Amino acid sequence: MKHLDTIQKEFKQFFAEGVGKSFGGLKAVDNFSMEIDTGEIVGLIGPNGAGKTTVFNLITGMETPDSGKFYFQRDYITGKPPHVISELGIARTFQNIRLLDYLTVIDNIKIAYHKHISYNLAHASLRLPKFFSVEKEITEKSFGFLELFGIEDSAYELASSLPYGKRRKLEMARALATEASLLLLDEPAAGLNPRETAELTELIRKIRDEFHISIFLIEHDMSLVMNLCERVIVLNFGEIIAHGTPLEVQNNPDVIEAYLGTGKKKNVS
Amino acid sequence: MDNFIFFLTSGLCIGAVYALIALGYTLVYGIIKLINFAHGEFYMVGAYAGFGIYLVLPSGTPAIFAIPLIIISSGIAGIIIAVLTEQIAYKPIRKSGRLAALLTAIGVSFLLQNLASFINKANPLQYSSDKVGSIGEICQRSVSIGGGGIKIIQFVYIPVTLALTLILWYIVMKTNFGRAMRAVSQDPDAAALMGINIDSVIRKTFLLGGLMAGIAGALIGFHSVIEPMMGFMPGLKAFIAAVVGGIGSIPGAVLGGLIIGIVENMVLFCNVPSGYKDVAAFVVLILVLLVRPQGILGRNTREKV
Repeated sequence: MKHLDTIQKEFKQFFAEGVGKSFGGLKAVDNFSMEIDTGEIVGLIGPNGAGKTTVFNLITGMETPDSGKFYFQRDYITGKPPHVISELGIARTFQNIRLLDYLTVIDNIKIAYHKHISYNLAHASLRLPKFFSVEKEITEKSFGFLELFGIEDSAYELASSLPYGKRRKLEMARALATEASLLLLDEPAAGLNPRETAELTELIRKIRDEFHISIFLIEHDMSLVMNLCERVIVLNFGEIIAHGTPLEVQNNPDVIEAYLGTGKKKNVS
Repeated sequence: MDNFIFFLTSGLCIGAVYALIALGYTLVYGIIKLINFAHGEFYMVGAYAGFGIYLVLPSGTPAIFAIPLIIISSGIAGIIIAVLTEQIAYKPIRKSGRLAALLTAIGVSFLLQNLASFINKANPLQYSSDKVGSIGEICQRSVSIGGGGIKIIQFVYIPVTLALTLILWYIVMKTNFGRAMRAVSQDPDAAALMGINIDSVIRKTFLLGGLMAGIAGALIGFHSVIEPMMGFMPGLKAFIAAVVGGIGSIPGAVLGGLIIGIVENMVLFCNVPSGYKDVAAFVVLILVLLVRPQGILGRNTREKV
């Protein structure tokens, strides 16, 4: 049965089917279904508390769904631990940036290579040539990612000492360095000014084109969502209320209602 | 004044052993925030394993081969018991909170102590020193330094500790595995999302801690009696050493170990009755906690909410 499912879903890179998750009595996500094709940029929007971040937590294995299924590149990934999902090629950033603050910037990137490194403790303690060649290679690759985001000058500073904008960039660089083919960005433009947001929009598009990956992002900044996303999914109270191109979604009455209210209720402001 | 040199040397030697045990406390605490009270028992198991190897060795084995062999076997025994303890006792309750883990650690500690006394009928063991040139005899040889006799074997403690600390420091700071360890200790969730297998990192951390505790057991076993309760006091003092140096810090653990070793012996130097020796470590702990609660080399971290 599982095998049959796998064959059916192999046409899309990522597939969610009827996923649900409750916390106590609260349905955080209900009957969530969607798909992402290779190379697509898809946005996930919705009012605060709509369950957007929970969707990301479910996809990356930080939470286990109560019902439903996820497929990624022909694999059934529901309930797999986070490090396995990361190895399969899904990476994410966090709304409240979670860098490893007491590691240097370059080490934060090198962490992403952990799973690809082929030397072991014996190589390292005996300082065999393999250890040095592998370390040199990942240092070079890591610098490549830092350069892409323009933060190579801070490579040997502690991550905690970076200013906010660079921290956001470092977190994206780290996610990308895992060699993911699906990147989940949780509010990448939060706290950026309009000019920085415009830069970020270009950068995300560039990443997609250069690395041929898909991007699934949560964002409140509508300028970014409308400029960048090819499709937008709107979530409210854990349920998908609209799905379509940015323009379609913008004019959808349900969406306007979710964001602004109906006007029928008494509005205390 | 002659006496001072004797007590200082003696303190450094025993401090080196405390440091080895303290490194294990500090590593495990750094990774899973667990105070592993069974760690002193890993040391006890190491001492017994070393003695077991000594019993099987042919009686004529030269000490130059026998001593390193015993040290290595104890290290391996330490690894086995530490990894087993982690897999059987700690891993299943990892998500149940720190108090549950702490109580389990105390339980494992009692279990191992009683298992050891059940198997050995609580007979204290000692390397036999009746024959000239036997391991026991060599371990009991002493030289006179500053008006007191120090066993020659104790001089091995400092280089062994130094070498292991340097290797450990190198692994943690320079290698891929060390990077993964540091990542897990800072943010396990983020580390997992970068593809790090947290279970494997924790297992290897226990492996390193067990190795060092086992070796410490072999060292002390050489000149002292081996008995089921031997891990209790050194384990406690090494824990104090780790806290004094700053728990989670590798240089801190070594520094703390040496401080506790030296202070303990300085108390004797000041003619305090030797029964009060053990109090010294606790006094140091209280003083350090009052002045610098994060430990001498500890990082000042606020609890995140």
